[in-house]
Amino acid sequence: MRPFTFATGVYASGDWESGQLVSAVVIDSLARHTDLEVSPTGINVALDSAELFEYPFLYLTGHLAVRFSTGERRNLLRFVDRGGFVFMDDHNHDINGVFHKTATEELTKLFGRLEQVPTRHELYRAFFTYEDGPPATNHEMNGWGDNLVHEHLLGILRDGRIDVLYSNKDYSSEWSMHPESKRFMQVDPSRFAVNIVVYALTR
Amino acid sequence: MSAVTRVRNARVALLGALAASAFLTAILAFGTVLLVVALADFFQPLPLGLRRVAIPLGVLLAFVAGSLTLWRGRGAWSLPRVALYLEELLPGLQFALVTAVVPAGRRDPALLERAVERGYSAGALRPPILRALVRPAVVLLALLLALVALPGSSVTRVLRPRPGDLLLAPRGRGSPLDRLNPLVVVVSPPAYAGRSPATLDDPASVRALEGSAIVVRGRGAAIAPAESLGLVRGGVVAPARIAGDTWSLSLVMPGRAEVVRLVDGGRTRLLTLEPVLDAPPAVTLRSPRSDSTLARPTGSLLLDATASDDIGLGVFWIELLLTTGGGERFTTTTRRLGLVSPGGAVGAAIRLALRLDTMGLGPGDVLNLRAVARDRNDVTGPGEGSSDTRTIRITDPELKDAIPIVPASAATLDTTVLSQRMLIIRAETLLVRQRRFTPDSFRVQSQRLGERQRMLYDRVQALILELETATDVGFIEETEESKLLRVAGLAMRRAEDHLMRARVSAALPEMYQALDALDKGRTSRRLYLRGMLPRIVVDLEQVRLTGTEKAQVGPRSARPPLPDARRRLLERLERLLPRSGRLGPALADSLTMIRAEALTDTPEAAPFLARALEALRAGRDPGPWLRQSRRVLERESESEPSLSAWRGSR
Repeated sequence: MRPFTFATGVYASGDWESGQLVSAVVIDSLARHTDLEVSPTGINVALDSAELFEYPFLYLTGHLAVRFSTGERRNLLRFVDRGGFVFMDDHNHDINGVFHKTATEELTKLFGRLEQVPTRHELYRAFFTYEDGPPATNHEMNGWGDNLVHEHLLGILRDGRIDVLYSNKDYSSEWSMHPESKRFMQVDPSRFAVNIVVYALTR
Repeated sequence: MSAVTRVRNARVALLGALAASAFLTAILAFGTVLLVVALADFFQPLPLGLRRVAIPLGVLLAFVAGSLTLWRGRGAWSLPRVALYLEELLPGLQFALVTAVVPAGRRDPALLERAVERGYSAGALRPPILRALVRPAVVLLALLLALVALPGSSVTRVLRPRPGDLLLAPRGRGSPLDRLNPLVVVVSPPAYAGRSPATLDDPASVRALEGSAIVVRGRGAAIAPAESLGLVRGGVVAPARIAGDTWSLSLVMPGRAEVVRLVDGGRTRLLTLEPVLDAPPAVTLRSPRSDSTLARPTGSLLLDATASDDIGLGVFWIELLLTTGGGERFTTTTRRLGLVSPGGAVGAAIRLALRLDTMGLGPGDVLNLRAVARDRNDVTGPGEGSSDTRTIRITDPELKDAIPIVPASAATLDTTVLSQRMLIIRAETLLVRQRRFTPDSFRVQSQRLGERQRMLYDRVQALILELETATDVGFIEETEESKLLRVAGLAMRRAEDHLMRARVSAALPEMYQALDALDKGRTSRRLYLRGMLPRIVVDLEQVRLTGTEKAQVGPRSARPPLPDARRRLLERLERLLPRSGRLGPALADSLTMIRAEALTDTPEAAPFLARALEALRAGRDPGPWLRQSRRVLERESESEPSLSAWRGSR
């Protein structure tokens, strides 16, 4: 038994490394709000490596085109089939952006059609309660990217359980800060990450 | 009429009778085969393959019988033998006829002619000829009567056997009122596949391309009310169409294996639909074979891709995504390169060169290249296949600080630079110590350096070749690096020439120039692997449970196990096995349903279930195949290990 380790997926195309601070921020939030045993540092894991199966939770992001290789596709499919949880976030916050177009195309090809996660889904009550569904990000409120406030997250749901969670909301930008910066904030903006991780580990 | 003429006339008559007899015998042989097969088919409908053999077999036997008859009557060609035959029929000739036709016997022709005139009778041949013709004719007549007495459809099924003529077969099997037996299924593949329709006789399962039009036909429409005939699919009953004594039902091959139920009043019959899915094209991008990061966007990139499809390709191209920009602002343009329309061919290839320096690429730009092909499926598609994507990045010097990058392992060029540097040091040392050497030993030392210089030149040439044909990254022309290596190579050749003539002082400037060019080449282009993110360690003890926001954590429920289709099928089969002997016809229906699900969920078990069904229908014991199916399901039901556990999960 090992402590939970936040794993960032490394894929050959695009810029998987664009969310450089996200893992630290999420780890910090997990420690602040839960008694989950968590590794103090995240890990980068190649999608086409067997090491992927060591981790139950996988975070993917980027701005650029996402074109998985055959090995990456095969592993990702097996990862989800074996109970792994994938959280993929569009760092562009732009539904016309190349990341959104290519990433959703890849996910659809692998898992089937993405559907909206209902705002009453237990994801939004897994730890903190979000009555109105996914919390909006500053990038949405400030008109960045596609100038839309996305009311729903998308996902691949199997029997109601989310296997793959896809976000257009650019949480990767919202959570890109040094964990130390949180002490100057009234509300921890990465609280929703706690919901996602707790949901992934317990549902 | 002379004796010889008489014999010749007799020969003509005999040959005619022989030909007629051979013909009748041949017809008789053919007709016998026809009658035997038609009779057999009348009592038990014969398979199409067997009936297709009947006509060739009949023709063969006819040929053999006719030939035998001709062989046996071969004596009719010979005048003496015809004459002898006539002598046998007319003993009063006393061999005058034979003597007349044998040249040696013509000593007194007038006497012979008179003897023949006296003893010859033109009607002597009639009885044997009639006997030879009447007997086979009578038998043939009897044969024809027997064939006429048979149902016309039985003879037609033998004379013109074809798929689908099962409906013409006499009702030998089952109840004469059973309208669901036999059945004929006509499968018409979608037009894009370009395949001919196929007709299946009495199938238990129909295997065809998804989207194929299927027509199920049966007979006996007039036996009972048409309303009771139909097809149950998904709880909906589709009524049959009636045309004369034939009824038909139409459906379309679904995308997933399915069992449809044909009903006729209280009777039912199951028909398994096994779709063959049109696979998307298989596409391979052969060049470039790997991702790379370029220092500068120069040179040409070889794009080489192949595509293949099980039915036929519609269109094939190389997709280029060019992403420019940085920070949070990116612009992506998509281009299609080398688009071809293979027009239904099952394979195609694209090979072209992409000039990077004409694309206006700048630092930080990213090229994503992949080959994409679509098939011609206009029913459920088009199916699209794509190759792996190759990512070509242009180095952004500014990003080197933001994204740690790890240089690639030392290239051969690096060691070449070191060797050239060492060679220069040795040449400089030799020049300084020139006075210590005799002219001959100095020449020998200088020539040794020249040989080393030659070896280095060879290594540089190999590097140039490698760079300009480096198919793994796709460069096919002179690159910035190879251009500099050529400059170095020329300087090396000049230095070697000087060293071989012991002119070390003249060689050194060339060696410096070679080193300078090698150094520039080494730094002109560098392939980088993508690096890792900065490792930030969170001080967990300091922040542990310091969050002020309150959570409302509710009770958690255990995650229900995911449905295991294989396990479910195994359980159904295990429930069936102990009762298989008592279920009778219901066992076939249950197995049909299980097999239809297995076709989708556990295709490796489906063939064994199919064999069990075949055995059951043929009245054999399906047990061995059922047990084999169970073994396959048990073996495959071992699940993959789940992901590793973690502490702190609730």
